Amino acid sequence: MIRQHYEDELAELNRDIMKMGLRVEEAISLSIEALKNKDTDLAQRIINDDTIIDKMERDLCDQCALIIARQQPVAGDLRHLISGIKIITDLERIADHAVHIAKGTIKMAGEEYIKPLLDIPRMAEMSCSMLSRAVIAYVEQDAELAFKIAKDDNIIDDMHKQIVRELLTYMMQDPKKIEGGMSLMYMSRFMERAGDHVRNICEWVVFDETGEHENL
Amino acid sequence: METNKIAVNKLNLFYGDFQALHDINIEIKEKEVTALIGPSGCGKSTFIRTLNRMNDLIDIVKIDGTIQYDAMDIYKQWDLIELRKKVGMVFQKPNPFPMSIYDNIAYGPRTHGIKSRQKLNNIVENSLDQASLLDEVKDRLHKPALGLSGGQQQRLCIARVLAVEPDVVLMDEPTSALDPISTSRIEDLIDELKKSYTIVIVTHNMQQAGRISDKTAFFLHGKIEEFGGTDQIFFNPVSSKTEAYISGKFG
Repeated sequence: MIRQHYEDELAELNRDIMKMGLRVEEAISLSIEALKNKDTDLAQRIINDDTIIDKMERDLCDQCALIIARQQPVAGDLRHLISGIKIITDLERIADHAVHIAKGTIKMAGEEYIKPLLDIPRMAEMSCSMLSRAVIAYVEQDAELAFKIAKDDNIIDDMHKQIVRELLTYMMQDPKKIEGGMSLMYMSRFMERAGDHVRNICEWVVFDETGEHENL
Repeated sequence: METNKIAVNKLNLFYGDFQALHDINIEIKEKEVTALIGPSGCGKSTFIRTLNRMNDLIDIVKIDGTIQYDAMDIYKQWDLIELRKKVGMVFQKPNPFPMSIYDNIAYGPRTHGIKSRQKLNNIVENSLDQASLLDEVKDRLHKPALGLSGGQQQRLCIARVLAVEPDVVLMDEPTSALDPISTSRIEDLIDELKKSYTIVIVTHNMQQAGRISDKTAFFLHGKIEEFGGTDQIFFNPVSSKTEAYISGKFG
């Protein structure tokens, strides 16, 4: 193998993006735990720890930029680095949605939820699974896997629509439930957006492997 | 780790009336790769040659300022032979001696008085191994060195420098006469060698500096325009001239 140092740098970048992916996945699943259990301490911890994820994004951005500046990558390697820079932005945004959920948890802590939490945790579970597979697809440059994952986002979108319909019904029946209903609607919306960001990641994985911009 | 191996202070160098280097101040750290870049005629090769007193050979050269190697003045406190042993040099064009591969490597140690066959065998083997050439030549050590390819010859020259157990290796455009694959091999080798040696390399190829060095000095008109970490020089240089040069806008 020649240019060993360069290969090592690319491998390190992949590892660091995986670490960031794991951290973001954890933030999402903990935020839903906090929401389910009305655990404001855990919610506050998620809010505080978001700075770690923000820093990971900035460090990874510099890491990519330095590899570009020093190694002059071309073709597939260049696409991989550009995709990396785009993907870490989506990861950071997903983590922001975990923070939004944590903030909502704190806000709703003293109230009874207007309906049992079933679908939102399911959406979160699905987003997390999509997220971890999407990061693997990036590291392994597997466009085929990215296409499959992106399709799963349709399920999340449908779940969101269904939750909205259901919450609207509750709110129409009893206007006192409007505030609580709106809060839960936001929670669902945050998860739906997280799914969209995973879909974006998948689009960058496809670009990485093929050089084509696909609308998945 | 951050010890100064070489410290240059207010160095001025003249070829007759022409001043080639102006007020050079630079500190070269131990076990780092320091790259010297800049357009032709900027003084980078003149500078690297001062570090083991190669310019002594040119009558009209006058130098003022100080160069310290291991905290001792190389003109006043170091013996020239000892200095050249400690601070070795690899040149642009591979220049093996017209003798066997083995004798090329053994030449330096023999000059320094090593006669034992066993010792010489060990030195030859270790040096070739460090220069990542051993596997390719181990079956033909007694064949002429001039039969090797250009890239192999250059690695042989590196092995020849390593054979006298130097501390600092100076490289004056070591890959400019080589094809891209041989160049990559030498670059990988430099990355490996910096674990044990301090390396100063002049390169016309600024991308090469970006790939392999820890620190980069940009020379312009006989002065150091900017010196800093290679990450900083290639990502966020302070001087607009540095930026223009590394962006390929002049030079």
